[in-house]
Amino acid sequence: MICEIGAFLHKGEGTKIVAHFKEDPRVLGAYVEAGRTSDLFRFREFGSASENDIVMLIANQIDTDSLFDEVCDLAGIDAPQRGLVFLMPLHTRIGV
Amino acid sequence: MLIAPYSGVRFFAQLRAVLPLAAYLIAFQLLILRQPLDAALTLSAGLFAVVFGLALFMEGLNVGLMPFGTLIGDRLPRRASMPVMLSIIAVLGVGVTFAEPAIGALQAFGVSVDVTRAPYLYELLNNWTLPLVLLVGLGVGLAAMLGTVRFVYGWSLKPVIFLTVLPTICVTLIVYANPDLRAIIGLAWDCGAVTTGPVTVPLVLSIGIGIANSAGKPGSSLSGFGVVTLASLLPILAVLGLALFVAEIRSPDEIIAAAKAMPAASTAAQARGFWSTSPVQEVVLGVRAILPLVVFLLFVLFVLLRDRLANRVFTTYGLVLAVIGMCIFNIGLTFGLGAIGGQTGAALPAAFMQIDTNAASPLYDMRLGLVLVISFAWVLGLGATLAEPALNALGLTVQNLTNGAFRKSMLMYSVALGVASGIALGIAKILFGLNLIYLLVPLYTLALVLTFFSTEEFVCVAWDSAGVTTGPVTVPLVLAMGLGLGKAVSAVEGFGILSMASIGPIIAVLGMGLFFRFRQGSDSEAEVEASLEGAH
Amino acid sequence: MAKRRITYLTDALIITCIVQSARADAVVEAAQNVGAQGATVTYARGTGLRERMGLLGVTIDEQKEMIRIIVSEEQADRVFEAMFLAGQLDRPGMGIMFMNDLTRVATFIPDDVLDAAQRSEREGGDTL
Repeated sequence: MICEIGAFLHKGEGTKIVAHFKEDPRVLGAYVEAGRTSDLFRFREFGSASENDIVMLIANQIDTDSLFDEVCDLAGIDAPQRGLVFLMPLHTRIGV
Repeated sequence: MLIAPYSGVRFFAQLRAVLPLAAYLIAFQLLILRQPLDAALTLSAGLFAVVFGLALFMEGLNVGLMPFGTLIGDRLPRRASMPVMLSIIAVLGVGVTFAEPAIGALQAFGVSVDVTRAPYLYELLNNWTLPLVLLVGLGVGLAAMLGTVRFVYGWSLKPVIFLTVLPTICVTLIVYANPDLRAIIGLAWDCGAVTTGPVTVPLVLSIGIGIANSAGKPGSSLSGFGVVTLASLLPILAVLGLALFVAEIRSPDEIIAAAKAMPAASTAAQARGFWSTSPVQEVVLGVRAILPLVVFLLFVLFVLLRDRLANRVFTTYGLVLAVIGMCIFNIGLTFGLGAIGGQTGAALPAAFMQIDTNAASPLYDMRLGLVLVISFAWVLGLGATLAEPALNALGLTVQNLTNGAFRKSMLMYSVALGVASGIALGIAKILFGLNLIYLLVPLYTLALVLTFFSTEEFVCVAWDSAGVTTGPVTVPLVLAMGLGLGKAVSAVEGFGILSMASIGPIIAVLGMGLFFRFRQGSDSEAEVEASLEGAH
Repeated sequence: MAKRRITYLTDALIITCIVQSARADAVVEAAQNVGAQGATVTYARGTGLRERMGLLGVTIDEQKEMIRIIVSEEQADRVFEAMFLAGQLDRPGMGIMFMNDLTRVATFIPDDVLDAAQRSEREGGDTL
């Protein structure tokens, strides 16, 4: 089964993660998107919201355990105010 | 049909911006100045045209002009060498200045200048008009080039601002040292403000963003900004330089003598042709502001870059909307907003002094009247700025680039607040005969200090917002008022309001950015930075 | 940094909601009012069957906003419903939303919260 590892991180952090996994054979696809968040981080540079990065890594389920931990580690989410990482199964077919 | 919600949303967005301003002007005139309203029917039709034209123009900007600009900016660095790219941008800068209708408004001021009191100002506005506009254009062109070089190499905007503002202030002080030249300062600083209008700003911004995306260093999402800033600073230097040059070659006495020798020449040239009759002139202005630029850019795209329009139908639709919208908007300005502004502006001095058209004047005693006039100017500045299309475009761009984190409304309100305070100060300058330099120098120093402490994002947006505030809504309203008041109190010159309106928003936006950081406490920001450091 | 540990959270869902541009803030606010946290909004472009109009095929508001909110299983339905109503998704052309199961989620959890959770688990109570 194919899974998605997603992460909501600070602006600029997503690009680093995608760059890190670009050549990784376990990763089928790595994407980063720019967005805004109003309540994920305490610091809001534009008053009501701050910019953030959304990472999307697509991988086979066998690889997701190790990848998930690596993403968590790279993103440093064991420290406060860093964002979050999630794992989502994509049940249907996927074309790569 | 979904056409109703599609157009409805856009129409009502502009209605909300224009209606309060018009209502305010009418209420002020009827209730405070107790003057009846002339031609109420034409006024309402004009106001409707303003709203309708603005809605069309903004949609045209979004669908046509701005994606078009971004496309050019994106292709230029890939297909053209650096010198070619820079010369295209410089030509664009000069062209944009000639297209800007507000430059003409400055020239119209020239006739009203008293030659014996401000000889060099008179000389520049009457006999040096072409070199003046050309130099302002060159300043804008140079600014556009510098701005491009800046974001291709990823320089910070802060040192560039320090290196431009400080010499400008120094030259201003040098000019101030010569009493005959003193009156030039207002003109020079106002020229900087008027160069950037409703077509220039979105186009320059979108081209800058395109270039920053394809050639710039990755970094802040707002790094494509900063060109408009320089475009309003360098022309100031250019005009001051020209003034110093003229002062070298002609003495004040020569000018006064020459002016007295040919008094009737200018009035003879005022004969109105078909092209300057009312609705035609506005259409010509609207077409002139957009079409030459678009044709030049199409030439660049097709001939120099050998590229095609990616989405021809959309872009054409947008460009057509923009031109039509601009024309309708211009007509609406003449018959609607501009007319009300002119009526109110002319009646305004009645609040504190005796004028011919109002038998009951002065309506209030001196002190109350002055307070009324200045607070009127403040609210007028606020309303007019919110209706300004260039500010709308800037806000939209900022909001899109930050994915909505930097809200359009937030930017617009802080800029409008800044402009309002600036205009009130400028009016006070005219009423009390203050010298512009006593306002300019401290305010710009404050802006530089704030710049030093602000983040790059806010610096870029703040300095750019200074250029966008003085567009087709604000300039005629403010100039009408400034001219009326200037005549009433017989000031030497009515310049300086616009330059006050430019520095206001810079301070307001920078202040807002610093306020957010202060309110959230420096620890939450330090926390983010520390954790970012520690993770890698 | 000393020992780093990752705490997995389970029983979480992600709600994705796509609405017309400039409507996201109202939807996010509705979600926050019923207890959701950490909404992330991005701009997106979309086209739909019913949104074509006119001769030129100009799409109404092709600019969309996409909201993503991670919620726990207990609050999921409540948040979903609040967002649906706030976004007026029962009207034509307003947008679409859906919800996915997440296998696991990881984020920073303060130590005291973690301890309390472990204690209650030992005592046979609910997890986070």
